[in-house]
This record gives sequence, structure tokens and C-alpha cells, in this order.
Amino acid sequence: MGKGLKRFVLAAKIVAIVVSLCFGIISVGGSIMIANEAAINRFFNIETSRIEEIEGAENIDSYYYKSSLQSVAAVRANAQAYVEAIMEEGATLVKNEDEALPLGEGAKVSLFSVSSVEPAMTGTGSSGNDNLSPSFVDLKTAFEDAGMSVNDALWNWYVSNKGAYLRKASGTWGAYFTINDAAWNNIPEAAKNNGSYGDAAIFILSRRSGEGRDMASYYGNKLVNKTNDMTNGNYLALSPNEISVLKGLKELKDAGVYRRIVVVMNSANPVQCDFADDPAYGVDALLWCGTLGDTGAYAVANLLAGKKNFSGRLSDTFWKYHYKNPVNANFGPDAYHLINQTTGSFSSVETSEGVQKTWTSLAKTNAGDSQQKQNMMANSRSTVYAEGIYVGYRYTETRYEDVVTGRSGAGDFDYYDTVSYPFGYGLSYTKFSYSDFTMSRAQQDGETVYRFSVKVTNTGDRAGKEVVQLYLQKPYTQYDITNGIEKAAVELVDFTKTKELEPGKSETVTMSVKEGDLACYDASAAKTYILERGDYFFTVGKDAHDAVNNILKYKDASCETEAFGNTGFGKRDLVKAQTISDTDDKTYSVSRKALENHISDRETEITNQFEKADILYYDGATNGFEYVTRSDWEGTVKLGFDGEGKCLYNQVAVTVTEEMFEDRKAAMTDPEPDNTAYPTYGTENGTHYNLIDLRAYTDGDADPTNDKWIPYDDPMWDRLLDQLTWAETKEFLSNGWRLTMPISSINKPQTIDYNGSVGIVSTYNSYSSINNGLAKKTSDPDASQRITFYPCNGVSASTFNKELMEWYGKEWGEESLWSGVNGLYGMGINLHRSPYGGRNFEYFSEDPFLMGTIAAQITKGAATRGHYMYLKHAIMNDQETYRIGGYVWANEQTIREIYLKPFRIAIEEGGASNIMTAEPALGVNWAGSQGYINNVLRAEYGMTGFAVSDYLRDTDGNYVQGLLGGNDLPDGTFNSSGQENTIDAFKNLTETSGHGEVARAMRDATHRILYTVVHSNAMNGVSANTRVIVLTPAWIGAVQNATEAVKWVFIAGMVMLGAAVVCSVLSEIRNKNKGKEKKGKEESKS
Amino acid sequence: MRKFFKTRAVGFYLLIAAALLALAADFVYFHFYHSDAQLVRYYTASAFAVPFIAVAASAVLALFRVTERWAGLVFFGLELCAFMLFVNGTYMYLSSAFYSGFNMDAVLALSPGFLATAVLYVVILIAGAVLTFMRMRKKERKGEN
Repeated sequence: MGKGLKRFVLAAKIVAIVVSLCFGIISVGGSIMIANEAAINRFFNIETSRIEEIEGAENIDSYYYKSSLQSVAAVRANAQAYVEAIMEEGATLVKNEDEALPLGEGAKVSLFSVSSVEPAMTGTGSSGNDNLSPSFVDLKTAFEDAGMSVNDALWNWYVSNKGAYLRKASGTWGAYFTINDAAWNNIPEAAKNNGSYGDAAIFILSRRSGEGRDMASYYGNKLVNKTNDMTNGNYLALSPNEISVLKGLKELKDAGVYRRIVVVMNSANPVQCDFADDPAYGVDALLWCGTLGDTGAYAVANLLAGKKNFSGRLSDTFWKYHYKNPVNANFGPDAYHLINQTTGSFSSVETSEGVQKTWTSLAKTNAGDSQQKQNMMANSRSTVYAEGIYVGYRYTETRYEDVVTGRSGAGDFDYYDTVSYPFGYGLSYTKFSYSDFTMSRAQQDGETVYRFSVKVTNTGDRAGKEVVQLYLQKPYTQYDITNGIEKAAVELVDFTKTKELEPGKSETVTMSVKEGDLACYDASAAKTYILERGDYFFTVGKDAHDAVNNILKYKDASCETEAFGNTGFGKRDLVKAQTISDTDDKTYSVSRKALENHISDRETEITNQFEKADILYYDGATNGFEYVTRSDWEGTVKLGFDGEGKCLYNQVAVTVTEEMFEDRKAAMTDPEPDNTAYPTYGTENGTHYNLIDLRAYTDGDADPTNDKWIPYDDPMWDRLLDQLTWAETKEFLSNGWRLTMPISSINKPQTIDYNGSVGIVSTYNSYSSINNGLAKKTSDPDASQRITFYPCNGVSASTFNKELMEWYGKEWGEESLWSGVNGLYGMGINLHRSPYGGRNFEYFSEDPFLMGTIAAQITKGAATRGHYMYLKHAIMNDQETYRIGGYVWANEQTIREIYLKPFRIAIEEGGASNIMTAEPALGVNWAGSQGYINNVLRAEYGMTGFAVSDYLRDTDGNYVQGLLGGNDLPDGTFNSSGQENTIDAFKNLTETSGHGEVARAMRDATHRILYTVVHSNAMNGVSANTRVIVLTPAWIGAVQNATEAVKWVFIAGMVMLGAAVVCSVLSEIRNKNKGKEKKGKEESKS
Repeated sequence: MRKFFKTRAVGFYLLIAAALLALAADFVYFHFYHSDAQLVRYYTASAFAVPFIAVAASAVLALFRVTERWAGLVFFGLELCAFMLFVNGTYMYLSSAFYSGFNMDAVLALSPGFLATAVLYVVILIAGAVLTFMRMRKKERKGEN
């Protein structure tokens, strides 16, 4: 090869490498950027739509939701006041031996544990934060503000040394948390043994968790535990180092250095309370404050000092030992049983023909499915809610009653060695008595309502508020036993809180219960709600255990719990009985909610919707499994672990059956064309409608805030929807990643929807994040401030204060107006099923009524400012580890009465409009594509809004099937199909592909989204005299141009390379031929 | 055969080493992306398949004088394709890993399977780029090219 050719080949190679690298990086990078366009725009706060006034048009008031505050500073001040108010009313005192508290202003105290200088402010993940926020107030500041003095030497030692005691073992998402406190011997003697600050030794007992991972428990969780500092691997028990500190404090107390030992449990998830009454630790007072939020420490300090009085009541049962909670036998990653124990992968099933099938072969059913979807099924896990309805106090109080009454099968159950503090429990610095408890019946809106009143008197010597809890006992009958209906001994049916009562003062409070709340769900015989005949008991109690004791005493005046050493319990005069003479399986078998909300033209017949979510539906899926039943506690309650460390291993193993496999396949398969009629597209019937025209009827006054809404089923909606084109509809439903898209043809603005079960998440948002917020529009000087962190939702629930929660919701609404976040991926209303739940800080309680009611109040409050909530996660996302690709199983009664109940209350009572669907599958089918969204949430509860999926890439389902089931929007924009602005799932859908049913579902989805948005503060500033301009960010054009340019450069490079290859090959051939010729000549010469 | 190997240059043996490394990387990718629960959803079958094509194609090209000078570049080009497919399939894993910020904790928590695969790909691509300019055959006496 000649020199020239050599140089050409070399140059071609260099060019080929360079252009290949450029082409690869730019085209793949560009493709990734375009697929994540929404995320990038949000991150850089790039405007994608703008509301413009039409020139010359009349100026009209188009602010439908107005703020009652004047500035960001006012919003923040308000928010921080709510943090303190919620903490003040929600922090719960559970032990106060010999009136150890209050400490009094002027007390001199010593704060122990590394957590005293770095307490748990909030959890982690999409609704939390990794570190303390700039607005966080530390405990020392708070204590001093309350008039107390803090041991500086001890505080400073912890501050200087906290770096040696890191408590987070890995990154924020799915973080591993350890305890890693300083051992007693590591604390300098002079700092800890300081009688000058001896009024109290206050031990801060903190725990944290967050999204993506549950807490470490007995059941393995098999987490990295860098310091190996947990007792039996249990994150929710005292660690050896913590034990050493408490024992050390006890010694110093005995020696007279400290007058009292106070433990502050700073954790959304309660630590087991076996230490509370253990004389080895000498704890005089114990209070729970959840996670603090920005300024909650002020409230804690004020409560300890006695400047404020406790009025919180526990929103969860505080267990003495978590292993005695039967839920935990089927919780945690080990509960997600792998089907094939040998290989550890969920990989195969034997069919009747003996042919092995695998989930991966299922994945290949849809050729061209993204590899990500195929991978999702490769590693699936399963958990069975074996406990049924018996979560928290529903278990403890029911089994307690059965032991006291001697029910057969109650078994060996020691209530007082199981429960430290029952649900609803809480102490005060004063005392209250109840009297004059009355009950009456009335008709209200066509329904029977029971009304109650009780007089509450402050019999102590300090002012305080009292929480009054109303419980109901339904009859547990032979019919129930025969038909598998479970009934708890008591369930909370209403509550209220007095105003602050001075000593000696009284207040008569009222509560009410609809007769429908007396019904139970009969999934077996009637397959609907029934109001069963029998005796019903209502009681007011100070907590769930008090309520059960009242009823026990009422039913049998001679009943005493001698076995437990308690006598003299129960107040018969605080119980009212109601007898239902005949079982009614008709009245509560229909719902009119959808009809009343104009989303249906008929009543809904309520019947079973979750048969396939019950593992017993599938023959052969389990081996002899029985749900926990009250008729046989001993036989069905299988605790997973005993006190001596032996795992009893009673997790329910699930085996894949052929039928499950086929159901799964059907759920993952794109629907076939049905060739039914498509809706109308791109048609105007005389009048052009904009979205704002569908908001409300004009009433002639200039005030838009009091207009009557146009109902969902008004014919104008059809005319508006007819105007949209197929392309607009497809694009609109292809992108729901924390927004809803703008539609310029109907002047729909973009909405911003963000995460935040505990308020708009502060990590990612300042008040100036979004252009539509008042902070940005008014150029507020404090716009760059972060939004407030509130205490965990368990503390909100523990306030038991409906009025406070509605005001709290209004504050969220104010933050919405000022920040520009229109919708919130919150309320978090999954259950505190287990204390180890990673996201329990986002959820409220183990009790669905308390949770639903609190959530309803917050939702109502937020709605007054046009802020809409997505209740999440629908349903049964009660566990974090392996939630992605996980399958959860429960029976119909449990789902309806426990896990769906908070949704029902928040929708029916609070007007909540939207949901976020859960990541796990319910049964074998992704929660987002289950029919219950349409058939229960909409048809039964009357939900008017829309459903967004959880982060789409993590959901294990078919999005088009999801549309048919009622999931309207994907939380994601995954577009690798090459079709512009179209999610991958839609790539086979066209106007002529024959998918009429899907198209109609798309129209319904669009309708629901538009209906929600038009009644939100996203429409502020939108009127008949404005237009919405959709903007294409400049960077998108730049990326597209760069990709196009580099494509041509690559082609040119390949042409050059091709030429070099051809020349080189020809040269080699020529040389070879020359060589042969030469050789031939030489041979002939010789 | 002996004559064949006697005439091979360092580039040829480097190509063999790079090919073996590519196969090893593929194995690592397959293993971790099937066993690590964090990574399973990001596995891309085409990213697994293309390196086999790269190894086979470059091996065939390296055997013949006429085509041997292109073996390294073909290896590089196909491995680059595989790497881009890997990136396209895996980037959402990084998005999740750094969801709450790019910090040392998040870096240390990255899956070893991901890190191993990524590092191996980078090494293979560097090797491929170098191979592009290396001879497969020893320089022969005057008159040969």
C-alpha cells in the first residue's frame, strides 16, 4: 500500500473513531434527554407554557382562588406556627411516673444521645429530606427558648463527635439507617456526671427511615449494618449502646445526680417499649413526638417545661415487643417469598402438560416491549396479608376480649405483655372525667344517623384539652364464623377534641355515626355490605383498651380481669346499646355517590371486586394457609419469631399456578382491536370552547370565587372533548410526570404536581421554583426560601383535631398558591400495617377511620385554595422493600374495611379528587390496571378526578390495560418508540387501529383530568380574555439540531471510511496479484 | 498454524485479549443484571448480544490479510454500539441512584454489578481504539506493506 493510501486509511480510522463517539454520545444522550423532557424542564424551571392576555381585551378578575396572606414571609411564619401547633397537640405523653413532668421553666437538663444534636426531622425519599433543613430548630435552641438550661459540655461533646457516629449507611434513596449511638463509656465523665444539670436526664431516642427500604427487623431484612449495633438485628429496639446509656443514667439517678430520666421517642415508627417499665432503666417519663419538622422542637420543649399541656393520643398501638405483632410474620423482604427456593428466582411453573413455563417467556408475549418491562417480571416477590383485618388494636383488643370472655380458641395471650400503650392512649398534666353520655337516632339526608353527646369535665388543676374517642362493637355471630366475616372487638367510629378547658370547667361534645358504618362486608354469602342483626355497642373511651373494658363491663357487670390483675375497670354508664333486629343486605348494597357527583347516571350495585386479590382464589397457590380468624386465634395466629430468637417461620409461601400465570399474561398483554366506534375528534359544533368555559356558570357578579361549578356530565364537556384531535389526546396522556400538559387549542395551562405526603416537599422546591406561583409573580424578596417541613403524619393524626387539620390543609393550599405547585402527590394514606414500614412517616395511622378522617380534613382545607390532592398509594403499598415487582394479597373484607376505607372517607367526606396508584401488583395484576379504580373509587365512592401511576418505570404493568382499568396518566414520559410526544405504550394505537374501547377510555381520562384542573388554582389568571401559549424550550431544538448535524457528520465519516476500506482492499488484492505475477515470472526464469 | 502465529503482531494478541475481556464483560453484565434486584429491570438483551458479534466479526476480519487492518476498528465500533445500548438501558438506574442528589453516599451505594460493567466497557473501548491503529501481522521484508 502506498504512503498516500496509508495516510488516507489512518485518517479514515481516526475520523471513524471520532465521529462514532460523537454520534453515539450525542444521539443516545439526545434521545435520553428528549425522553425525559418534562423532568429536565422542571429541574431547570424552564417554562413550557405561558398565559397571555389578549390585547385589548377587558380586564376581568380571573383569580378564582385567592391567598389570605400577603407575602412568603407570612406564609412561612404561618407554616411554622402550624408545625408547632401540630406538635403541641400531637406529641403524646405515655408515661409520667410520680409527675416527673413537667420540668418547669428554669429547669437545668442534660440531653443524651447523638440524636440530641441530630434528631429525626423527617424521613427520606420523595416526600422527605436527607439532611436537616436550613430552617430546622435544634433541641438546645428550643429548650433554651422554653426557659430551660442545657448541659453545654455534654451538648458540645456530642456536636464535636457526631461525625464518628453516622447513622445513615448509604444514600438517600432506599437508605440503610443504623443506630450507632455513643456508648456510655465513651461519654466523658465530666459531661455526663454533672449534677448542675441534674433536673432531668433527657434521652433522645431517634429512628429514621424512608422510601425504598423498610426498617431492619428480626425477619432479616438482611441489611448492611455497618456497626452491627442492633439488638437481634432489630432497628426498633434499644441498641446495646443505648442500653448502656440508660443503665448508666439509672446509676447516676440512684446516686442523686439526676432527679428523673425522661425518654423522648423521636421516631415516626415506635420503638418497642419493653424498656419503659424495666426497673433496670428507671425511666420516669416517656413521650412520643414522631419526627420534628422544622420547628417542632419548640413545642416539645414547651410541653416538657410545662408551658403547654399534652393533648395528643397515640395513632398507633405501641407494642411491648414487635415480634408479638402477627403482621410482622408476613412483612419485610423475607415475606416476599420467592417461588423457587433453590434458585432464588421466581422462574417457573409446571403446567398440566408438564411443560416448564417461565415469566420471561411471558414477557416475550408482546414483541417489541421495552426490555425494561420484560425485566420487571424476572424477579417478582409476594406477600400475603395473613392477618386480615387484625392490624394493630384490632388484633390486641379483640384477642384480649376473647381471652377475658373465655372464647374457645383464644389461646395463650397476655395483653399486658404484648401492648405497652394502646391505640388512643395519652396522658395530660390534668385529668378529665366523662358523664351524661347520650345517644339518639335521627334521619339525615335519607340515612339513619346516631348522635352522641358526652360531658367532659376538667377535674385536674391545669388547663387542657381532651380527646373523646367513640368506639363501636359489632356483633360477632355464627353467621360471621360460617361465612368468614371477621369483626374486631372495637373500632373507632368518631372522635372530637374539646377546646382548652380550665380546671373545673366542662364542655359537652357531640359526635355522630351513620348507620352505614355499622355494616360489614360479606364477601362470601351476600357479596356486599350487610347490616347484620344483633347487638351493637357504642362507647366513649380514653383509648381502645378503655373502650373494650367499658363494653365488657356493660355486657357482664361481674366481669373482671383477675387473670391480668386488673380490677375495677370499665364504666357501664359510658356505653349505649342498639339492637338491629333483622339483617339488611339491601340498603348498603348500593351507592349513589357517583350519581350525586354526576359521574354516572345510575346507582352502583356494590359487589365483590377483589376476588383475585385473595390468594385463596387460586387453588394450589398456598399449602393449607388460613387467614387469622377470631374463631381460632390459637390455630391461625402465627408469630414469626419468639422471644428467645427462634424464628417460627410462618410466612405464607405462594406458589405460582397455571391460572395465575395466565391471568398475569392477560394483564400484561396489549388489548386486541375491538373495532368499536371511536369518539369524535377535531370537531367544533358551532361554538369553540376553551377549558375556562367549563369551570362555572356566570352568576353576574364580579367575584369568581363563589361561582357554581358546571357539573361533570354537562353536555358542554362533550363539545369540548370533541374539539380535541387524536394527536392532542395521545400526547396529553403520554406525559404525566409531575404535571399535566398544556393544550393550547382549548387554552388549558400546564399544571405542576409535586411530591409531598407531609407538605410540598421542600428538598426540591423553593417558593420561586415555578413561574406561576405568587412568589415569582410578585417578585417576593423571600421567594428563594424553602417550603416548610412538617412533623410526620402520625403526629398530625395524634392531634385527633379535625379543625386544626382543616386549617393545616389551608396552609398547604397557601403554599400551593405561593409556590405554584397545583397538585400534590400526597395524602399518603397507606396503613401503618407494621411498625417497620419505611414510609410510615408519610402515612397517618394503623386505624383507617382516623387516617381517612384526618386526610379528609386536610384535603378539604387545601381545596379552599384550589390545591388538589392525589391520595396515595392506591392501594396496599404498605411496605417499601421490594414493592417494585411485588405482589400483595388480601381478602375482600380486609381490602374494603381496612385498606380502602381511608380512601373512601377522604373521597366521600373530604372531596379528594385524585389518586396515585401503587407500584405493587394486587394479586397478579398491577394495582394501576385493576378495575377497582373505576368500579369502586369512582362508581362506589364517587371520585371525580383522575389517577396517575406511580413512577412508571417502576410499575410492573401494561399502561394501556391501566387506561381501561382507570389509571389515566403515567407518571413518566417514556418515549423510545420514535413517535413524537407519544409514550411507548401507545405506539400501536392509531385512529384506525380499531381500539375503540381504549380510545373511549382515553377520552374519559382526558375528561377527568380537565375537570380536576379547571377547578384548581392552575386556572388562576385564565379567562375568556387570555390564551395559553405552549412553548418549546430552546434546548430541545438545540438537541434536535445537534443530533441531525452529527448524523450527517457520521455519514460523511462512514463514507470516508468506506472509501478507505475499498481502496485498501483493492490495494491488497492488487499487491497479492502482483506478488503472484512476480513469483510466476521468477519460476519461469528458473 | 505455527507459521500463522509466527507472523502475528502484538495487535493480534491484544485483539484476542480485548475479545476475551468483552466476553467477560458480557458475562458480568448478564450475571449481575439478572441477579441484582436493583438492576434486573435495566437489562437489555441487545446489549448482551452485540459483543458476541463484535468478537466474531473482528476475529474473522483478523484472519485475512485483505481485511485484517479493519478488525480493530470493527471491534471498537460494535463495542461502542453495545455500550450505547447498555447506557440507554441503564441510565434510569443512575437516575434512581442519584435521585436525592449526587453525593458520595449515593456513589458508594451504586451496585457493584453496574460499576464493574461500566468500567469494563470503558477499558474495552480504549483497547478497541488502540487496536484500530495496531497491526495484526508483523511487518514483512521490504516490498511488503
